[in-house]
Amino acid sequence: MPASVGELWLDALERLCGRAAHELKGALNGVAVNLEVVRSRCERAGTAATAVASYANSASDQLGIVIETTEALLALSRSARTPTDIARLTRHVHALVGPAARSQGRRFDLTGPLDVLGATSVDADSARLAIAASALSAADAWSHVVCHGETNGTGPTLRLECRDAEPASCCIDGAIVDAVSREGIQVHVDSSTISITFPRSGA
Amino acid sequence: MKHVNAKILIADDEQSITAGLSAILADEGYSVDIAGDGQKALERLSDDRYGVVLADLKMPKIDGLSLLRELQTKEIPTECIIITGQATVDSAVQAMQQGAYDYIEKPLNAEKLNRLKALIPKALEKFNVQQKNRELTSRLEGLTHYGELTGQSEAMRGVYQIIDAVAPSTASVLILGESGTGKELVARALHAKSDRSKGPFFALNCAALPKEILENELFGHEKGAFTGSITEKPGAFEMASGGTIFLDEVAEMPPDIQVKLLRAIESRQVRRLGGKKEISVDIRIVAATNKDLQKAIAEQELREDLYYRLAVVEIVLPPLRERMDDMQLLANEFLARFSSQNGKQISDFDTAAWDWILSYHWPGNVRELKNAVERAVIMARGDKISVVDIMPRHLRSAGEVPTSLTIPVGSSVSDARRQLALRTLASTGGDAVRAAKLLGVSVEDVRRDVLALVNAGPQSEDDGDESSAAVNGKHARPDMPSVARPLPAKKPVPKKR
Repeated sequence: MPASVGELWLDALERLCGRAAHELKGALNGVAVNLEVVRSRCERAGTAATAVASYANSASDQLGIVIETTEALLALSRSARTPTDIARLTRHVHALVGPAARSQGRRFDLTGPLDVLGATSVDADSARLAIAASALSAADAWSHVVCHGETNGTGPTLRLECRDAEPASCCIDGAIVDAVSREGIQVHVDSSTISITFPRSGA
Repeated sequence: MKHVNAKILIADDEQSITAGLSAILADEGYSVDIAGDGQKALERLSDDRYGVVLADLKMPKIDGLSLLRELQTKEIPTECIIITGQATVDSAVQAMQQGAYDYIEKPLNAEKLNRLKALIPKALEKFNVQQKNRELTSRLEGLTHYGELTGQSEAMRGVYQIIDAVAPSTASVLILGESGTGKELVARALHAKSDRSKGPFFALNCAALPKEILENELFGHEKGAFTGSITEKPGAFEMASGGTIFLDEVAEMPPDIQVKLLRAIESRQVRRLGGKKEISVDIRIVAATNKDLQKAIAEQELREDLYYRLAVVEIVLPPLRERMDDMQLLANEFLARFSSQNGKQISDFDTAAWDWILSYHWPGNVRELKNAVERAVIMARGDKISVVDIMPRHLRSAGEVPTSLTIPVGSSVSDARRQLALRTLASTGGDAVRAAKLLGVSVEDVRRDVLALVNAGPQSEDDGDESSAAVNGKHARPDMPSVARPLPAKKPVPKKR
C-alpha cells in the first residue's frame, strides 16, 4: 500500500527540520556570542559605541535569521489552509533550505517575482510536499539552484533551475511524484530543472 | 597566569560566531586568527605556531575530530579545545581520547564563554610546558657534553634534562650515586646553569672532616669562641651566600650538626660558633650521598626531616656499568686528554683493550676509568693502549695465575672446556684473541664459553678448584679478570672523537 501524502509530508518536514537545525543553533550561538562581546565591553568604563556597534548589528542579524527560520518552521508545521499561497509556501521552504545550503558553500536562491504563482486550491499537504521534496532534492544534487515562478497555458509553475556548469543527476522519490500527481500537481525532473506545475485555480 | 599575545586559532565556519569569539578573546589579550574550515585550519597550524586551537566539531572539508587526528599524525604542537554543538557524550569522549585538551558544548552562552576563558590559560600553560620540553629534548638530542659532564646515553640525557629544569629554581637538590659517578660535576652544572652562577660555589665533604672542624667549616666562629680562635672566621654558609653550597657525603654528617643544618635550611640564618647574632644567608643547597638513604634513615644515621628538606629534587646518577653507550666516549676523551698532557702520540686502544674496557664492571665508575686511562697512557709504549696497560695491576698479574687446572671427576666435558677457556683467558690478561690462539678455537668460542660460565652463576664459581674465577666484581680474585657482565660481542673499534 503506497504511503499517504500525510506520511510523506511528515517525512519531508522532518528532513527540513534537520536541515534548519544547524543553522538555527548557529544563529542562536551567534546572538549569544555577539551579545557577550557587547555586554563585556559595556561593563568597561568609557567604551565607545563604535566598539560594540558591529557586534550588536551582528547579533541583530543573527536574531533575524532565528526569527525567519522559526516562523518558517512553525508555518510549515501548522495544519495548512486551502487555498494555499504558493509563493509564501516557497519562501518558507527557502528559509529552511537556503541558509543550510549557504553554510555548505552552495546556493539556493529565489529570483524574480513569485507572487505570479498565486494560490492553489489543491490539497495543501500535497502542495507543501511537492515544493519541499523538490527543494530538498535540488539542494542535495546541485550546488547552485535558482527558483522562480511563471504562469503558462498549463498552470502556475515553480521552476528550480540548476546553474551548475555540469549538472549532476537529480531525482525525486517516485512515491512522492505519484502521490502529488493524484492531487493534480505535476512534478517533472530533467537534466537541470525541476518543474512543479499546479492546476489552475478552479480546475 | 596571563598569556598576553599568545596565539589562538578559531576554526569554525560560522562567521557570526567566529567574529564574536575572536573579539572576546582579543579583549582577553590574545592574538586571534580565524580559519573558515578544517582544511584552512590545518594549513595555518602547519605554517604558524598556535598555543590553542578552538575547533568546531562540525566544519566543512575537515571536521573537528579529523583535524585532531591530523594534528596528531603530523605532530603539530598545539592544544585543541573542541566546540561541539552535538552534545553527545560519545563525540566529546572521542575528542578527549584523541588528545583534545577539553571541549565546550554549544550553546555558547555567557556561562560557557566564561568557562572557555578560564580553560584557555590552562591549555596555554600546558602548551608552553610541552613546548619547553620539546625544545629541551631536541637540544639534548645528540649532546655528548653538558657542563663538565660527559655522556650521551639515555640515562645521562635524563640527568641533563633534570638539571636544566631544576637549575633556575632555588629548590634544594639531592644527588644520589655511587662513588666516582660525577656528583660534584652535577652540583657544579646546577650552579653554572642557575641565576647564582656569578655567585660562589662552595663544596664541602662532610665525611672528610672531624665533627668539630666540620661544624666550624660550615658555620664559622667568632673570635675567642674556643682556644686558639684568635680571629673570627665566616663559615661555608656565609661564604657561599649568593651562590651554591655543595655538601658531599651528607649522610656522614654527625647527628647534632644535622640539626643545625636543618635549622639553617629552614630559617636561612646561621649562627657562628660562639656567636650571638643570627646571620642571614642566601644560599642554594645541593647535597650528595652514595649511601642507601632509606637504610640510613631507618638506622637513624640521617634525620628524616633533613632528608625531605634536602631532597626537594633528587637526581640519580647511573653507575658507569649502566652507561655502556658512554664508555667509549669517556675512554676516548680521557685518552686524548692524558695523551696531550703527557706529550704522547697515542691514538687508540687495541681490540683486546676495548674488549676489556667494555666488559669490566668499573666499581669506581668514571673516576676509575679516568685513572685507568691516565695510568695506561703513562705506561704505554706503542701508539695504542693494550689490555695490559689499561687493566689494573691487581687484575692483570697473569704470572700469578696457576698454569694448571684441576677438573674434578664427574665434571661434564662442556664444563671442563669452559673452565679451561676462562683460565686461559685469565692467563693472557683478558686477551681473548691470544686465549683463542692458545686454545686453538675461535675468539667467539672463547667468548661463548666465558659467557656460559658467567651465566651459570655461583655454582660455577664454587665448582672446580682454586682456579675458578669470580664472576662478580665484588668477589673478583686477583688472578682473574673481573667480569661483571657477559663479554659483549666484539664491537667495531670505536673511532676517537
